[in-house]
Amino acid sequence: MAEEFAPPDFRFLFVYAREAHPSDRFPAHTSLEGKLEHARAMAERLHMKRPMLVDDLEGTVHHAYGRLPNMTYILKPGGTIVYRASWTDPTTIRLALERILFERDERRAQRRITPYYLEWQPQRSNDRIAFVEGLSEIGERAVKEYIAAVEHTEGEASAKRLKEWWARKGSGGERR
Amino acid sequence: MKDVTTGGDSVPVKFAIEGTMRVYNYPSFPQNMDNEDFGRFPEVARVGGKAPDGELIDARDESRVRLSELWSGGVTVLEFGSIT
Repeated sequence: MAEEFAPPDFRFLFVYAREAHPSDRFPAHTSLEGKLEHARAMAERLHMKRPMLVDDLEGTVHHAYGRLPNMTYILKPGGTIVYRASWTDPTTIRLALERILFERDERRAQRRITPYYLEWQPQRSNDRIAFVEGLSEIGERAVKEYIAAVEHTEGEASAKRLKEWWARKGSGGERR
Repeated sequence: MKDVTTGGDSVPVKFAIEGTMRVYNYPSFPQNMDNEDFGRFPEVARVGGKAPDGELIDARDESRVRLSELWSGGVTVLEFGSIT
């Protein structure tokens, strides 16, 4: 999407925050240098072309924007917030950017547009097995702590499938 | 909740042994997943308002940039996350 909605009209930036699921390979940050290393590892692993910007160790910018692990904001030139979501969802981001393009075209054609307010609470896919499959790439500790947290927060029934999955997968140590 | 202050770099960092979302760089994934930040999110930095400014470090060359410099040029999509 970043290539499709390209500069100079659009700019996609990634802000590196705290480790959401600290693992042995990617532990919680104790230094800015370590945080920068993790950020660079992410950019390399995911072949990211977007600028990778790293927050300070205390998470100052992360705090200011809401401190959630995977949120997205869209800002107009000048810094006005036009979109914010507690979860990064490409579908609604695209919708918002296409709407911004429509607005730009209307202005260029000198057709009158006015703002209106929208609130929306969509649902997102949340397949926990798929999630822990991804976590297993981060490391065994991350998986075990997540499953334990599900059990602690929601009860044994919620964690049962996850524990069965983990038993079948086998604790093969930290995966890359 | 016990706190352990560690050295490391010049900035002391506090860790909570039990681990909660309230400690920023929690060393282990918190057992209580009820993240109060999700409940607070609607009230933080609202649509229509000005985005918070701040300084970030470009991972490529470790130069420091302000968000206000970046958002002045065009529509900015700001995504937050981490490798984990």
